[in-house]
Amino acid sequence: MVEPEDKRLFALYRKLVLWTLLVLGGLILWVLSGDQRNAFIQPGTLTASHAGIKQCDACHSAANLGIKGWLNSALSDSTQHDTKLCLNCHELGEFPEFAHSVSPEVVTSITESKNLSNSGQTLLVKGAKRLGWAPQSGARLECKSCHQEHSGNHQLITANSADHCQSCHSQSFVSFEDGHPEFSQYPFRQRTAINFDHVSHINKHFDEQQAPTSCLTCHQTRNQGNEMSTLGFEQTCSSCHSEDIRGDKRATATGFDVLRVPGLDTDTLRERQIFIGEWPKHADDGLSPLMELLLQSDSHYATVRPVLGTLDLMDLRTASDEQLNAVATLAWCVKMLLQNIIDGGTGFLQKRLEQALDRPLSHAQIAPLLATLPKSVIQSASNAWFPSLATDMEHHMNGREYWPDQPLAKPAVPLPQSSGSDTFTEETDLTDDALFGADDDSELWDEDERVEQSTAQLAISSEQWVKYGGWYRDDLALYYRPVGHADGFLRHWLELSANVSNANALFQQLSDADAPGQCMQCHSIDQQSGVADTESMQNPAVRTINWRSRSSASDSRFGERKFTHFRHIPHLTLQGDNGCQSCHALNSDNDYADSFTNFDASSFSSNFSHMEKATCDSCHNRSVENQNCLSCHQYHAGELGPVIKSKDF
Amino acid sequence: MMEMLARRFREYALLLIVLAVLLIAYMLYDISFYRHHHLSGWLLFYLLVAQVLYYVQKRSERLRSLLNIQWLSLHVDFGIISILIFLVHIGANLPDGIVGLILVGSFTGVVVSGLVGLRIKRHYQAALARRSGREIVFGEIQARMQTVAIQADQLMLDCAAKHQRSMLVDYYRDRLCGAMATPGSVLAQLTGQNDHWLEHFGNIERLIPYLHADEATMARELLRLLRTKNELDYHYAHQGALRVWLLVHIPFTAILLAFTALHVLLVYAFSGGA
Repeated sequence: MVEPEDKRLFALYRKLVLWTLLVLGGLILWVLSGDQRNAFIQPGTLTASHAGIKQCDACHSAANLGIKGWLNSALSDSTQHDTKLCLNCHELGEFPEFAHSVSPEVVTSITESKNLSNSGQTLLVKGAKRLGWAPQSGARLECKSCHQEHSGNHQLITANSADHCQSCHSQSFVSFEDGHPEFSQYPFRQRTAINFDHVSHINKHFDEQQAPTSCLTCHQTRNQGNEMSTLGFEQTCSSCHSEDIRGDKRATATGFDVLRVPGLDTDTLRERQIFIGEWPKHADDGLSPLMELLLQSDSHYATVRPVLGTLDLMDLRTASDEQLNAVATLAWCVKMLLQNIIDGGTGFLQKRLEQALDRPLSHAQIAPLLATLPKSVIQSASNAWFPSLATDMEHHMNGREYWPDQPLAKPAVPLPQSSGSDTFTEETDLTDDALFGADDDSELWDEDERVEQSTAQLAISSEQWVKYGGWYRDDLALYYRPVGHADGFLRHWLELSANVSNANALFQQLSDADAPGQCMQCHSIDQQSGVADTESMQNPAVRTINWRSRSSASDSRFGERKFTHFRHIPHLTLQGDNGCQSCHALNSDNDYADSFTNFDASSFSSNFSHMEKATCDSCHNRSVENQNCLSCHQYHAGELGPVIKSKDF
Repeated sequence: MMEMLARRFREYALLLIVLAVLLIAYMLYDISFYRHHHLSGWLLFYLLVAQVLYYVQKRSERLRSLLNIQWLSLHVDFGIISILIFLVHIGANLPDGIVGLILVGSFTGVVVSGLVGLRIKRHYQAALARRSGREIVFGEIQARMQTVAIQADQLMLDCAAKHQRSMLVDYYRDRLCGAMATPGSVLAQLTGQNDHWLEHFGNIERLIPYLHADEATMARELLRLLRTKNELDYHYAHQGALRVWLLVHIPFTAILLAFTALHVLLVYAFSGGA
């Protein structure tokens, strides 16, 4: 029989253990103090996405410590440090450590808004909840709660089970097939960025020749099939709508009136001895909004602006002396503006705009706003509107009053005059001779040439001449006609005025659906969620113009990354006879156009019927396809940057 | 027999229940976003410590009296649970880190040597109990072999003194003398393949009819001593095996303990602390 009391044997065992531990301890210490330390303690291969990381300290705050440091680190809580190391590379927005990378308040509000009830749960989920082991609402989560590393390069670091998700969610269910709530307005959470009525186009506007052959004529997959995108204007809408944008068929002006001489009741002004110098008698329109914006930073104009109010400038018979003086100030401010633009050029315009906007403008910002406006354009317009502008201004500055029909002292430089309209393009090189050519007093033109010129003017108007876009003057306004779709000049003025409160009139003018370019016929404008229309008008900084088919001002709770994602590519082969309409059925009953009557993207009616869960669970059930939450939902939502941050220089 | 079967059944049923509870706890822990590896790791650690207590209690009368339990049975049950938890802990995959591989290697060494030891313990103890009613202390076996060898030598010297030419003495001198004082082949005893030794019994018995009467008496006495030597060899081999497997099991356990300590330190230092 074995004798456990055998002292010699136990002594042998004891010695064996002691020596084993001593030798091992020595070996371990030797290896840990050598160059092979990291290779020795590395617990396993990194996943493919992290395989390029060679330094342990990129992810582990304890990596560069000694054994004593490891002991301290092991006995203290340095989880936050390691999580921050993850965030050195991974941009997860403002709330990286909270559930779904969004604020706990948002998560709570979503939970409350859904008002779902438990429709069953697996035994494990039930057990975890009963035990109170699941993370509590608002708890901070570590990256490693879900992402396990050092498990081999074949492992998927983002893989997680449905039970993981269910254990946190207060309302749970067994599987997608069994208990997942019915979709709510999926996939349309807001109106489309582009106002394109599929129903009316398919049923009414597309004729046989122009009709797209399938949805894929305009829509294609992108981002490896994760998204369906709409092709650009040139490939889709241009064949029918280019003329609309250029304004070829418009009855009203095709251009955007940049500068306009306002009409004034000059008879009353003269009668009341209010001196404004020379002023075109047939001017009968108001200030252009852009001109008004440029005048705002003129202190004289700013003073009289409240007095002018809603005064009818074309009928001043009942106006008070104060109002008449204010009108005179307006008139001189307009002339001064023109004179300053001529004298100061684009530098003056930039300064004026910066004063109006109360912020500096970079070269990149100012350049598209001026559309390389040539001096000759302004000079010519000034000559036509105020032939004696220089003399006028000289007299005004010297405090001398005179009336235009009084003989004037001849100015030092002959003042040019022009005919009723001119056309300018960026390439137009108008010399002084050419500019002064229309001057009735000029002797540069003989009679035949005058006839020839006037015949040409009868044949084609300046507006028609710039059919393909550019600057032109028509009567008492200087216009810019859009060169076509995505015209940079209109686009930049729209964006600028949308975000500046004192440019509201300009924004209203440009954003009108019938404005030149008709930008807003198709491009929607969003306002920040939760801000009322009227509030938005007062604080237009929240407006976003959707130039692209994918809205930039999406659901503000989540920013760019939503909880739900859908890959079209694997599903394209599943279409039935109805093609895309197998899932996206047209809905003629909804009033799609009504969705674009305000700035609220979330209040809308879709062209398509909402998808139903039954469409998906015909495949996503226990017998056909997986039902993992992550098939359709992504955990990290919110305002996320690029997956990998770039290093600072 | 029935009572033993019932006891076994109760033990295994209890073991299965404990395993099921642990597995469910592990899965609950896992889906609750806790570090499930830590749960299985600490369970393994506690089980390892509990199994080490088996050796401590052998030296500690106080511990034995404090815990009146079936130590060996508990040691084995904990060992079986450990195997399953270890598989869960490593995800049934071989780790590719050096420390992990050493842990898997040493754990495997402990398990294999433990299972072999368990087999040796149960099989050989029963065999030894069946072999002889009289207890032979392992520490005395070699001394007793010496005694038997001296007795055999003396017997043959007496025989040689009486008979100038003796076939018995010649046979002893040529075939047996050198093997009497040292243990015979351990492997032959453990495997039951000691026919070469048993052959001597037959050879000597076949000599007896050709020997003088007193020489035949001495031959029968020599046969008795050879049987005693064979018995001592048997005990030496089997009792030795019962001790030798521990010389494998215990060092593997020491390696496992040392690397477990390192593993725990690294895990906590590199995963954000306790």
